[in-house]
Amino acid sequence: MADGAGATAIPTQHLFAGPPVDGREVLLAGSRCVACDAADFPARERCAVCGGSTEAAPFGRAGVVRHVTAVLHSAPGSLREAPYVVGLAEFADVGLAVLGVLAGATAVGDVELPTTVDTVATRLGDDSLTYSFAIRAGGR
Amino acid sequence: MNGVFVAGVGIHPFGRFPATVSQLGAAAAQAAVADASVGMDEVDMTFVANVGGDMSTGQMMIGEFSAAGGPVITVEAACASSGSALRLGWELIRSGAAEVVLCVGAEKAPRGFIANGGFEPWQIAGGLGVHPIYFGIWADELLRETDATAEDLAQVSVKNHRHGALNPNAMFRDEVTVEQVLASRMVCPPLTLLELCAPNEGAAAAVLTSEAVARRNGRPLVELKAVSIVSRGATDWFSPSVAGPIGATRPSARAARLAYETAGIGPEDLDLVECQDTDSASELYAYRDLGLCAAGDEAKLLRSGATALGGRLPVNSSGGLLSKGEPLGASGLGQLHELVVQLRGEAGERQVDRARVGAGQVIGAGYNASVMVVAAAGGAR
Repeated sequence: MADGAGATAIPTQHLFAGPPVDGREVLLAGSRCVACDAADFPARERCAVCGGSTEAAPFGRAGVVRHVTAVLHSAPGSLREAPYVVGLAEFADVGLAVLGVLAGATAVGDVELPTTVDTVATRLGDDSLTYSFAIRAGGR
Repeated sequence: MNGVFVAGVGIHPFGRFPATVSQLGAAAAQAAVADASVGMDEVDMTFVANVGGDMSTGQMMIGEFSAAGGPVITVEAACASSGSALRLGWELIRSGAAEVVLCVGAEKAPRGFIANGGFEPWQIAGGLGVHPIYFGIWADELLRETDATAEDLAQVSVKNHRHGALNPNAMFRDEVTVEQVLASRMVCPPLTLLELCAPNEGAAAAVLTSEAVARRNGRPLVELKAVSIVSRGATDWFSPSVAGPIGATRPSARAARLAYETAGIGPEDLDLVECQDTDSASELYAYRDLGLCAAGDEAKLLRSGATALGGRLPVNSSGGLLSKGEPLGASGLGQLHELVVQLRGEAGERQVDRARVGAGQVIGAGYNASVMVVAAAGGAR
């Protein structure tokens, strides 16, 4: 995969629906149950609600963040540099609310809510890529 | 169905101790057995609730003080482990399969954030693998979606620390002011250090019996009317899942409905509640989940003084987890200890007037929730 994601120390390829490039937009690999329509992220082979089979449901555009918190001191094992802001983004097209770090924000006061976000790839440490939420210009 | 009674309770204080988890649990278990006036040779089944222990935690714990040879089973369900042990014991007595069941909860949790919380390596590496993030998000939601304020969150901590100052088994026994709570270190905004409970060590135990055995010790009779347990429902969201449905529900609301239905008791019948105040906002959400007020009226209920000692419906008269600390596997049995002491009228300075009916609520990672209802003999008025 592009940008070294195939060599990550911690497996994260399953998070992405396309090749992740640090700082660029990328869709996340959600799944949707063909039987009951329940969505999940990361994608599952079997629906966590009814056990049915699932199909790919990429998402990541125009998530709405209504609630945030922050991590002021990194926890053991975290490759994120604190402080950083965590938001719960609602992606209405798949019906999922997803936790993620808001790129560039270091304090909850930096973020005017509600705000609109898109998912981007973020490099962590040496070899790991994960996702973040990039706030759209203008915020909404 | 047979009635299920709490014939005896015991507790080891919550805090930090040199003792092993086996010794902590054994101390509480022995106290409960003595309180119930039963012998270990009469115990048909023992359930030990513990989250972080080693192999054969339950057997090693009971082996500290008894070789009576009866069955011992260890149960784990995160912060709802005690609820699971109690449910199993309640079922056995109710069905008549057992006459005496010992339930013990004990924990020696490491300092700081809870490790092994079920998070995937990518969540931990990406900075999303800590439980307080979830509590911070929910607290933020409460402040934005209801009229609750940062000061209300602080007042929950002030109330529970005031209660805990009266409880010799609590870890933090100093009262705090709103100013101190708000000025304490910010952990996950809007939650400050004094608005989050500290995982710690401790143990609590209860002996569940038939009515005949419960009458033996001549103590006031306390009936365990219901213990519900639920796991993940289709619309629930809880840690450690990174994603859930939009507008997700909380498992403990469902657990409360089930417990009330089984007990034939409603929230309007309650005289006191012990709930899982993992953080200040969690206590306010418990008011909603347990039906103590309408959704959105949580802060109003708090401000009315109803949930403080001296109020109409004291919540966490023990000091709650904010004051006691949270020994994960023991927290639910710690709640039952407080409820029984209160219903017996033996709570001393923190006694709730005319306490006849109480409820306890725990909720744990991995979508576990449990609600129990207890009543003094004679039940709801």
